[in-house]
Amino acid sequence: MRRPLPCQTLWLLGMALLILALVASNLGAMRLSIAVLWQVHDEALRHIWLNIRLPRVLLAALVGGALALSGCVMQGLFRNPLADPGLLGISSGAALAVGLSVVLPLALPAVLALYAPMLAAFLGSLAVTLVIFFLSRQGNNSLSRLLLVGIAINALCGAAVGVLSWVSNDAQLRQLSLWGMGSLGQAQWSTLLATASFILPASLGITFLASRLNLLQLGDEEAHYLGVDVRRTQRRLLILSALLVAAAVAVSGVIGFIGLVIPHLVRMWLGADHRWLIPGSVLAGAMLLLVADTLARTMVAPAEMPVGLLTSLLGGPWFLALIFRQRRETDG
Amino acid sequence: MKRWLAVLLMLPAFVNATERVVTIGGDITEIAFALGSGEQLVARDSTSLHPAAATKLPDVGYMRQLNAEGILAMRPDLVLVSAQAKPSLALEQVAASNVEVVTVPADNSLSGIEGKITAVAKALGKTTQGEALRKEVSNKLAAIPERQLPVKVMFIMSHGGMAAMSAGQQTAADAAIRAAGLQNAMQGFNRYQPLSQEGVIASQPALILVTEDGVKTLGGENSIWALPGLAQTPAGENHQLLVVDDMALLGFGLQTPDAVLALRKKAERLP
Repeated sequence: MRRPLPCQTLWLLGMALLILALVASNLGAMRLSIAVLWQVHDEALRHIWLNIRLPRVLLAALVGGALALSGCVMQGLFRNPLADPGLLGISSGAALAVGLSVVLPLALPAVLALYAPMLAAFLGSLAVTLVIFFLSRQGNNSLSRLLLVGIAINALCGAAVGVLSWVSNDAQLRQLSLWGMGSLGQAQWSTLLATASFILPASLGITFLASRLNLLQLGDEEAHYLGVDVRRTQRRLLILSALLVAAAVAVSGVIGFIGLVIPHLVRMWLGADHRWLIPGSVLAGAMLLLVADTLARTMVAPAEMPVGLLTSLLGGPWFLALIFRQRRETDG
Repeated sequence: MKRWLAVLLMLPAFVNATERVVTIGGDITEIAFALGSGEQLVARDSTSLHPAAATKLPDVGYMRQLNAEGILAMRPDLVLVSAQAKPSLALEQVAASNVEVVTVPADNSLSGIEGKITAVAKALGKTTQGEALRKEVSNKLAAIPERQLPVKVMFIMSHGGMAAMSAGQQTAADAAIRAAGLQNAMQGFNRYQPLSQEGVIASQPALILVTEDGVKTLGGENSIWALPGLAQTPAGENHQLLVVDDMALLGFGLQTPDAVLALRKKAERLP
């Protein structure tokens, strides 16, 4: 089968992302384009563009890329097309911690209180990541066991969040359910930098492991004979992608769909080689979340929609269409 | 060209040289209009549905899911925001963009209404009108009899897609019932809970309170009496029902004293 050269496609994706980012930073509730900023020396306008809109555009791309990447790694690692970042229970751990912080408000200093849900989400997802890490160190056949543990963690945290929302009052309940829909409204330079300081190194680390992830697709034994330290590679990939999810969930809440579907889309386009699949997924994930978030910011302006709803609404039909088209092609 | 563009951008600022105000919270918007500041309002949140003129203003979204740019896009000088509004980060960002953000207290009590009026009036620089409005509300509150009436009232909340629920303690409905000098029939639990047949019969309410939306989602007055257990209560036997505007009774804004008084009158006329 002949495909376009992956390298060219990646450049294309990169350019498209750049253009999208430029367009997105021109759009918003405020009529405020870069052209206007250039011509009018208005400090207030510049402040809004620089401190509210720009970090948000960058955060959307960052989080979208991280979610798609972690989905890509999970699918490769578990050799299961249904794997996604939610699989190991990381986002449910985060949801539980956020629920606790909303329902049982601790007396935090003012600076911390502003970031309380974010901190809680990060601690929650980190806790689940640690559980995964220790489990992955012991026992044979640990991957399939991890899947089961993930299911158990998901169920447990889901039930605990259910209990919390049952005992919560109206305001808390609304806050909880809004968090579950995902939003990038927390974008600020400080949160962007904090998130990036986790996501960028983790993404780099995964990129270095791409060719070993390819060999893992052949099966553990074959990979072992081809010189891969299977257990160690698996553990590293697991922890790195868990970190990605933890950072993304902490800043944006639960944003579904991207991690599950973007790797599939990119695989249909670029093939299954992780050396191309990984950067392709990052770029495509960044693009999808950027488009979804821009729509979320502008469609009902000056109000705003939860972006997590839009990613699924946008991506779902498109993905279905792709699947059906592919089937028609293979059928005849 | 550059200069023209600058003038064009400044235009809105010249037209409304006084002040551009965004109000967030239905009670606050209502008070701002009552103080005669309706002209200055440039936007409101989605809970601000009263008075009718408010609904013509742009809507910056739900008060618990605010976004900074949407508010700033209305180019306000002053943002009046309910203490219940979220997230605080969005409001911090608005404040960081040199917009004055004033938080108005939001407690579910009749005495809290006067505090809201004073805070809004002060922020809008209308202290004399504020004082007059506060007196008016205070007089209305004084008209509500203080004597306790041993009438049990049950508040039923029903939104589409959910089972009908009744209001326990720590709810605005409970506060409104007690403000009318009546008893909440549902004792011993907090927040809203699904109706249980036995719980309803045991509580023996003499009057059912339901919101206009609630009547609609339940499918009319008759279907209310078909709710679990209601037929076996005094209210069900005598078909004693009061339909209320939920923002008026539960919003603890300007209409609340009248709504509470109406509830009290209804309870006094019960057979």
